Amino acid sequence: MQIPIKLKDKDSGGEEWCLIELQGDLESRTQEEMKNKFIGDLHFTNQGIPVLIIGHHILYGKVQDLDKPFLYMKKSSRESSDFEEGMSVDKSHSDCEYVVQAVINKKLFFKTRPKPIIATMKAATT
Amino acid sequence: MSCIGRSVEDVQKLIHHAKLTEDELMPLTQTLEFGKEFGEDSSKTLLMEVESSLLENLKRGDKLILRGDPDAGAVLCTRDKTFEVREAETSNSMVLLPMISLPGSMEAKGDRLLFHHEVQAIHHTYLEVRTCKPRLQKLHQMLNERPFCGNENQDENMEGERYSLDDLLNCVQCSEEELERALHDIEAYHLYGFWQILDFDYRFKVVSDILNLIESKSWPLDSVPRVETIRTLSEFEPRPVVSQCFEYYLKPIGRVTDDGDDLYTLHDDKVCRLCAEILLKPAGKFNLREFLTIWQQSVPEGLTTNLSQLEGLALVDRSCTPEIISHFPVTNLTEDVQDRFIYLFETREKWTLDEIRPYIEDLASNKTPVSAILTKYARASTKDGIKYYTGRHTK
Repeated sequence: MQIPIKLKDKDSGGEEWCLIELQGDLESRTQEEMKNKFIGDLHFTNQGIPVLIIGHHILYGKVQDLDKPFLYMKKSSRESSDFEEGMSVDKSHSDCEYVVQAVINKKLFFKTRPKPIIATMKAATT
Repeated sequence: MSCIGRSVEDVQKLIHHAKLTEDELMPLTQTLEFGKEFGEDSSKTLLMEVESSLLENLKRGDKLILRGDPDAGAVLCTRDKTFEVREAETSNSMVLLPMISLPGSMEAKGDRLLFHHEVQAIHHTYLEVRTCKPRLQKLHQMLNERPFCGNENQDENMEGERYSLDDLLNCVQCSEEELERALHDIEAYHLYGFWQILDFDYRFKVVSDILNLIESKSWPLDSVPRVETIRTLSEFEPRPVVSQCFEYYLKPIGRVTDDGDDLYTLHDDKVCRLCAEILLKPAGKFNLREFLTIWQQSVPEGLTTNLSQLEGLALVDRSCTPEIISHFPVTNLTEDVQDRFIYLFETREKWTLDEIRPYIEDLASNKTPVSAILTKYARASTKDGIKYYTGRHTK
């Protein structure tokens, strides 16, 4: 089986995206649907250090150029026929292909554990 | 753009809350949220880490292809290279979103501005690719299903498939260029739209036809006219077989006859090797001394046989009396390094470097030369000044 990988837009080379790498998982406390939910605020200090505030946590990271870029690819069918069927029966090219949606060359890496923001402190001092 | 409705005031509040001051932060705040379609095609998306050169290839319009059976690991192929694809897992979250603004491209002063970004996906796995050797075992298997034995023997009901180049590319895990080179290396023939190897006896017959013609015409071995040979022999065997066989066993010398026919010379080593194989294959083992005599007699006059021509085809055992040579082709060995070594050390307990090298060379690459493979899978010892390799786990 052969699955070709293609660029979505040959001329521009695809969209440039960015990767934010965090320790652990992003979870909703209430386990509800994540769509359209707010995650956090991203700032940069005057020294260029990224600062991410998520819920009651603050994270300090750094901007890195990736040695090897990431391709973000999406599988799409080239024909209407069922892909699973095509895999086993069709001897020639498979019916699907991967289309590169975006290329990622940079990441914000938040390597250290998030620090908690102690909310009660403010209440106590004021 | 945002559905969250987050305001500058909200952001400022959180800055103070986190005990930061607005002065130490650049004025642009980028708020992150999950996109409207977040998580919807997570089963259809992949994150793949590639070398920059692969991306450049892709931009140039070169083909990039994932190749392999659904049950075996995939490889990634460019026009000329093969990469092993492996899934890597991380406990970190890889959060993907369209490009954000970075410090270099930001205003350093001004009022606080908000910009919203939608996270498109979060991945915990990605694919890594690493250069690897073409995996050709499948090719050997496929071509051995149905060797070509000449037209009159080519029964339509014969078992075994014939394969076109595209069929091969669908199953063999290597790039197109590597496949073409491999087909040439194993002397495959392109016949009537399919790639086939010649049945061993049939191949010997066609080569013998060429040698006999040279002899009957009294041509010197280094001045064989190509067109005339092919034209003459095509009366007996299919033209594509004769012409490809001619190219495999002879090479051009860069001169032409008076009629403009290209002159070729015999590949001495290949012809000698084939003559040796026709003797060794049915017998399996041979008394070395007898073999050397018969072998020299079997090759056309003017060619000189030499044991070095049989590298990777036959093994000489000098430890027994009389000395013995046996048929032991490297092409019959597995591609799996570990299993190959087990088999090699079962066949023979002790090997010198010169003996074992031909049976490992095909596994080696620039990164892992023969010496590195031996260090990993064999144990070296020296006896009477000669270095021997034995199995790691044998006594």
